[in-house]
Amino acid sequence: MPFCERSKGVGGLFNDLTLGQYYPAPSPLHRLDARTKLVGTIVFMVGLFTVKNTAGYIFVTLFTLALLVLSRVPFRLVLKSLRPLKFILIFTLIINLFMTSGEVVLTTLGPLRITEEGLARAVMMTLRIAFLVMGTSLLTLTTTPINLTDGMERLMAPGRRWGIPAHELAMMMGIALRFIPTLAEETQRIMYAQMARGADFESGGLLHRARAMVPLLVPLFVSAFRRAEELATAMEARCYRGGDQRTRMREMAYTRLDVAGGAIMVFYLLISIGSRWMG
Amino acid sequence: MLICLKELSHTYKPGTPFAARALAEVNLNIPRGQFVGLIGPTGSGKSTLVQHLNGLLKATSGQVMVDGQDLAARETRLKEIRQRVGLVFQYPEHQLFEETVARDVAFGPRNMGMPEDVALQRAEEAVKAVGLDYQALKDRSPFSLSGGQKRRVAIAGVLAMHPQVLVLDEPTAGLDPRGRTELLDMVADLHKQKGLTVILVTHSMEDVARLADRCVVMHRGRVVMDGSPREVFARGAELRQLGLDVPPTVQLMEQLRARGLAVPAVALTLAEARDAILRAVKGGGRAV
Repeated sequence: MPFCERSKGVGGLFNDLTLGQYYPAPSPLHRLDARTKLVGTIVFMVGLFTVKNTAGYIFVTLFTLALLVLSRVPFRLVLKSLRPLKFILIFTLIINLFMTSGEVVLTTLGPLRITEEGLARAVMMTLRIAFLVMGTSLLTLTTTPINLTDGMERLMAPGRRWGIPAHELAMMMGIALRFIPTLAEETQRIMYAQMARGADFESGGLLHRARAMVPLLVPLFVSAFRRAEELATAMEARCYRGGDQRTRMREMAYTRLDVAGGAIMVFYLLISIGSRWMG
Repeated sequence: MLICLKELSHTYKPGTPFAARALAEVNLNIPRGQFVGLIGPTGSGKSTLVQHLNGLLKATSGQVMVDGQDLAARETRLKEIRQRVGLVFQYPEHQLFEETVARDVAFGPRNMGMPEDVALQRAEEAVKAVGLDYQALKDRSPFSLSGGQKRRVAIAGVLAMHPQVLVLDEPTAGLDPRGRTELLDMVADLHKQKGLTVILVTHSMEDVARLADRCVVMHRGRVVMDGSPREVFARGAELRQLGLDVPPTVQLMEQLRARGLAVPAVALTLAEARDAILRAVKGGGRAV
């Protein structure tokens, strides 16, 4: 993809987009079946919301760090996924720090009091959100979009009985994910083409900037519709119809690694629950 | 020298597992008024190279100078450079967005800070320069035009800024044979009449042979050949190794020579080929 991190502003627009940014690496987390990882992520989140004391938080912190190390994804990339949330994180930290009532007052800043309970709560809530985001981005960093949607389809498959269009949903998601980089690239191209005609996307007030987006958005919509039409034609030309009796190119299969991964997640959940009665 | 590239290198997504080196130490000087054909197989770095010429991409290392101004320098105003170096992208019709042809073509001049009436004046001039009927088209939606017309309108959008250099990235892709010839003749006219410096990125050896003063061949991010089309196309074997070819007229010469007819190695146009063959046949020149 012709992206360039050095071109300030324009190229930087999509570099924060960790969604669907698969990072290839030889790690056991990458080799796990997508279904295991999907369910595992849910279990991970449940665990995060189960723990409530210091012992529990130490455990989930260690567990998250272990996952990061195991994934062989550079820490920098995982941290990047937190960047869009920095305000929420800071907000959570401050609100909890000052708004929690408690008995042991550590220090007072004018009318604001910081209590021991407040400090503990602030740290815990912030960590919880941070781990939540890191855990989910670890899922997308270690799983290719195609595996992810395949996995979702298979997990939703039993729902077909109650009218949940599992295949269609997965197909839609797969197509959407597939076209994110394409449209990002297209955006970049059109931006460059308009910049070559002197368009300026970077300076000016809010209104000016909003108006400057018109030369970008109109061609982008036109091309998105054109692409959608072409894709629909191409799918029909190959007699595509979703739903029943479709065989797949890649059969998903659980391996011993998935058994191990599943077992680890069960232990994780048990310890998370157990920690509520500790310390 | 109008354009100077010194040791220009560019790497996409540096510092990630997706890092890809697109240009490696390219040195290239282009004097005013030259018509340069830039050829090379897909992925050889042609498009990356031309996007450096107006500062859309920044060099990872090395230097880009336009008219003596270093594009990386703080005091260089890129908008000014973009006015001077007009870049027409592949499928430029994808950039059209305005409600009318006139307004779309005037987009560039308006961005240069010209008042509306001057911008529209420029638009009229540019639409005429690309061989379209301004009065008939000016109030129509650019989306209602035919493919060839759209492309001309898009090129007019760049010409309306009065660039000194016109860079065209595969301008004939997807056009029918007549559209191709007309478009290239138009570019050749602009070059001759207005003295525009032209850089034409293309896959068509024939177009380079017919139009260019100079032919630059790229391969894997490097300039591997640089000379007149006559010199470059005399190196057919090397070009084929790079996944390129020579123009049909040169192929004809090669085959005639292989069969023993004494013709020159390179003929750039059909007329030149005809004359060479007639001379060889009349002279009874069987070079055995």
